[in-house]
Amino acid sequence: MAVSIVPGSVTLIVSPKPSVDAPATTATHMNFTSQPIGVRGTCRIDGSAGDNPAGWTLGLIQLKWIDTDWSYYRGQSNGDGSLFVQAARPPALATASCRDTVVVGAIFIDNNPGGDRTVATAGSPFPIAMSAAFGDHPSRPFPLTRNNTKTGKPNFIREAQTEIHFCTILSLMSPAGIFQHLKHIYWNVHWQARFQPTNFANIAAPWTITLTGKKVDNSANATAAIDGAPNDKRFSAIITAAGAANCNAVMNAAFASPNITESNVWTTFDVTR
Amino acid sequence: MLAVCAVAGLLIASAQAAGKPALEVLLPGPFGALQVVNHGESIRLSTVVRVEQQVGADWKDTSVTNLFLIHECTTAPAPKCVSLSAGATLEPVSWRGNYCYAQCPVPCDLDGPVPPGVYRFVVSSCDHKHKFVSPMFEKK
Repeated sequence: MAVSIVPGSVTLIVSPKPSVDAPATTATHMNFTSQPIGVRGTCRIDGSAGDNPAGWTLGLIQLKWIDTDWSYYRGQSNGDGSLFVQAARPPALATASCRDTVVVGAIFIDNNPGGDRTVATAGSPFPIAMSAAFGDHPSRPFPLTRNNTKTGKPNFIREAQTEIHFCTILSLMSPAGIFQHLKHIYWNVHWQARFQPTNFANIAAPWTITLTGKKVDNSANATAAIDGAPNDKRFSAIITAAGAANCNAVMNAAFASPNITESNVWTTFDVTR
Repeated sequence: MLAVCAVAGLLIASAQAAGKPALEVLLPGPFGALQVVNHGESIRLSTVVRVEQQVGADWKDTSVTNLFLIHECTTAPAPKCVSLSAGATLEPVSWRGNYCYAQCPVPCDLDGPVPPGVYRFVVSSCDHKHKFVSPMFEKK
């Protein structure tokens, strides 16, 4: 008898559910922050007396497959211009699909050492109970001001939107590196708001922040667990692929060098580009 | 909750014994705060601060990112290196205890606090030939 999963033993639970904080300023940025999602998966593996459980690993894999990250800035007056900052389109963002780990190139989520996976050891008696758990709280910062090079005037953040969609997969890896994707969930965080300094000469003063869009545009959501592997072609190819982009790395790069379009007057920009 | 093990002692970089610049990485106060004091000649330091965790008898890199030798958060990216003149002290923005949003606002898809344990900061010369470590501290 080969090592196998005990029927009915696989669970994948979200607790707590994710939530988004209201946008808030620091000295330099308008920040979108969130409260952690908690994800915990379990299973039991079984085998015969002669089977060696060493190396069987239960872990979690997280992929990002949608990212919206734009911000709109405008000067105090029409002649000060406006500008649009896009961090979710090439060339700023090389790829929307990426794998989410703290170590670049890792496969299993690795931000909860000691709890984010179970690695079976030689000699452990079957059946073996395994678990994997982690938390995550994505965030986005937008500079409060940017200089408009066409007018030479500071432009102030006027509106921004972020949508980050993840798929988190509970997966059992054999000692040979073969993955069995057992269950998965989808979850996301959304923010959209409009901003206005109360004192353009002192951006440290409080800002007026108005949530915009629909209710879903400032929310966080998570699905119930779905059996098996996700089959969405937008990201199924990178679940365990070597060389998959690292989410934090690509977003750091995108925010460091976003696509910027400037105007010498207040302008309406196409946020889809 | 985060807490700091009150460690007043200093760990002098191995480089000092070899006659290299005497640089101390200190823990001046609450959790996450660090201070770099240069008792030697002017030195160029890499702005990247690494966080290592004690695992048994070894120190293991934690993969904490976005932690730099910068004294304030700005919208500009951190430079690769910073000069610290003789006798000067640098007080960087404190570490928040997280993997990604470690110091100043930064976009993070995967984030979270590092687990409880014993840690130390590691600062390197700009050419990465010399490293300077802080006293160990505890994160609860």
